[in-house]
Amino acid sequence: MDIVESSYTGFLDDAEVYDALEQMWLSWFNEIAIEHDILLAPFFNNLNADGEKIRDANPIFSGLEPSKNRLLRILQIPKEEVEEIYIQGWTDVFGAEEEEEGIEELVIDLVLSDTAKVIAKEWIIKWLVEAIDREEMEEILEEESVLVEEEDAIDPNAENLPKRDQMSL
Amino acid sequence: MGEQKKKKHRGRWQAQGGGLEKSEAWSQDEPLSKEDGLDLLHKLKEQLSERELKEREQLFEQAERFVNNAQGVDAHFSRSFRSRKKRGIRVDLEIKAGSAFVVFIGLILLFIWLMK
Repeated sequence: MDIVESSYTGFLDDAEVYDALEQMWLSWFNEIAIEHDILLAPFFNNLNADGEKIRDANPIFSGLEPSKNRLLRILQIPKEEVEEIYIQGWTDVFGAEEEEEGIEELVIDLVLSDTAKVIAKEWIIKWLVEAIDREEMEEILEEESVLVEEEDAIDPNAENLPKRDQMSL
Repeated sequence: MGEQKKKKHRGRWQAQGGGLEKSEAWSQDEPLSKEDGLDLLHKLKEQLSERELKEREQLFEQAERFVNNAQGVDAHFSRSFRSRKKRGIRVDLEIKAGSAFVVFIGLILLFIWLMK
């Protein structure tokens, strides 16, 4: 199994580890951004009303690509919740109202691993660089998502999970 | 006819994935309270068939827990409570404008004062 999360074990319970993980995702995305001449502007708020950061990795990384007017959200779950490679994606529209179309977004949910990062990078390039349409993106996501088998799924409400994990789910 | 002024606090809950797209939205002058947020979540549940609800039972519980633990959040804000087993099966929270799940400090202080 190519889990590379070991440096970030317990990220939902330790603010320092969480912030390091967040930084890792930022650096990882910056490499893609430089390589493909894109950028991601802050869009989603991730603070409580009292200004405290919400460290639930839902999302762990996000932003708006202004030239394409498309959103990206990456959600991460701890490796304890699955036993194999896990990555899934879907597209959505944020903020659609009667008179407004909203902003298209790609959402990627994963357990951190080399394999998941390679797949996520390919999806992000398709979405933010090549700007393929939603229908085509959905076909790719359907084909390439690696989900949890029923028997491997661990109940997120299980009592043996860290308390912070249960709160943040 | 002039454009109708939008309310300051807007957002929606959505149950999506597997061909489903149901939502419960709010649009109001005051921040959405936790209680009203939970009411809307329950209304969304009521829109679902037995099968659709079964697939999302734990996800609704997670969403409810999120609201109960929230300390007030401001737009733009998004949370996805998702299945690990079926792609895209989820309950989404979307705050497009304003605030939601606010804790009314004034009420808390009044309560503390009354308890003295």
